[in-house]
Amino acid sequence: MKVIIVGCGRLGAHLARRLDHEGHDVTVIDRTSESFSRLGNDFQGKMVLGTGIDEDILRRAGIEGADAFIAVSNGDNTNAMAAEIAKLVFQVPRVVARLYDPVREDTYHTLGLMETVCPTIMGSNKIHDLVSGNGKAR
Amino acid sequence: MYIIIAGGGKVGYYLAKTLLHDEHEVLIIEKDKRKCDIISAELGGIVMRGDATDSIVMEEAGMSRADLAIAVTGDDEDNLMICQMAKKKFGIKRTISRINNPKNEHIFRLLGIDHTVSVTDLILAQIEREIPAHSLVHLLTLREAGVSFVEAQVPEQSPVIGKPLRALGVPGDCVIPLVIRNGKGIVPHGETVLLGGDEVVAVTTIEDESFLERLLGAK
Amino acid sequence: MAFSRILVPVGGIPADEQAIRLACQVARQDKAKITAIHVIEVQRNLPLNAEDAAQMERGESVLARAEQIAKAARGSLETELLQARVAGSALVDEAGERGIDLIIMGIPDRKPLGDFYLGATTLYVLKNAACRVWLCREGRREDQPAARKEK
Repeated sequence: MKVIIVGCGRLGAHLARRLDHEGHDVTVIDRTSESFSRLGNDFQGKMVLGTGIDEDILRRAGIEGADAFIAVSNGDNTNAMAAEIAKLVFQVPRVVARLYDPVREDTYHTLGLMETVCPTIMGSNKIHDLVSGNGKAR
Repeated sequence: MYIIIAGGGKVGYYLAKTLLHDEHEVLIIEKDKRKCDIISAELGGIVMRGDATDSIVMEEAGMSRADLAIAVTGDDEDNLMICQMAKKKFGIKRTISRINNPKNEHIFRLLGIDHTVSVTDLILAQIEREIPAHSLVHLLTLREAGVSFVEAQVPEQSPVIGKPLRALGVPGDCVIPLVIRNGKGIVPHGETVLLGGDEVVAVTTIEDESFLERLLGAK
Repeated sequence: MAFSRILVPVGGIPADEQAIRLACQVARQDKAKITAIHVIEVQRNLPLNAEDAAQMERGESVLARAEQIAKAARGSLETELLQARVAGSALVDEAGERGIDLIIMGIPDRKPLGDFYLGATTLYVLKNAACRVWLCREGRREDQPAARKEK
């Protein structure tokens, strides 16, 4: 599977390494070159410096022909726009965006263009379950 | 009308000033405290400090009762988020967005943002009007209709000089409604003969533009 | 210099009283007129003319109390109830339109986090009003600790 990841923060880098180890063709896009150090020395994928909302950068990253697109930069607005470009301009089959703001997440989820992940709600649910005793004890 | 302007930079400020003058109810949402202070000192209590892409801020700003949302921040992703949230979450019918990177214009259109203003494109168009790089100057492009209004000056050595319009082989989808000669407008007909220095205004399909350019331009 | 038109913004706080009494003294001396204004701040998600009965009732009673205080201080004042988005800019605009030459504001000795600060309305008026502005800060109450942190 050919995967493009926008944002090489903790989540982006972790995902990139994981997918890379599983043998997928991974390309990571980030605005700062230092971020790529999170990928480690054994990363086999491609790194592209630039913003994930620029069509030329996305083309350089090989978005044409990508199977999946993951937008996990630290900005909700960038993730939403990058994901929309991936879906509408490049017709990438699977598009996922991380949105911290639950209301934005709800709105974009309802639009149905992309899969959305809201760490705020996921974290809140998990902690709530743990505190109120509904969580699976480990 | 109640108009919400996201972004209190120069564009937002002057826009607000003009709209207030036209007696609209206006609110500027701006992140930067200094800009907020300057605006409220100049224009009064029409500014709210906050991140206009944040749904809670939008709610407080009364986005759901706004008639129009205008996003003029310096970041296209923020402008897109504001317009989409205004439309999808708050049911605002009309949104206008500033586009900073001209390449984003067609993306915004694909995403259903009704009106976009690309400052870079406006300046480029102005430059083209002042200092034409090609012989055809774009006056107006109606993209959905696939039609452009263009203007060209007939060069002194052009092969079209001295021939009647009907003999030039102008493509069928191209009309010449106006010729400007020595500052005066002429409505041409088939027998009109072009002279060097004439300014020709044409309505053409986008496909026929290059043909027209070759025909008239010959620079 | 003599003042002719004095504006006293009243918020329904204890510090209003001192400001009104001071205004009455100046008015008597200078033969000035006093206007007391209470501003109801209307949230942005409502139209500016939205009527909130409770807020209006409170505003009326704040102004009625201002009249009583003035009377007790052997003075008199006009009152005005305003609706605006932001009190500060409404007061500055009103002062300009009415040709006010002195604003007297009562401010609380406010320290919710143990620190003193000026409220947004007071700050806006101080920064933007063209006329003179006098502030009357209320005295420190015994049950409140001192604002300055010693040691």
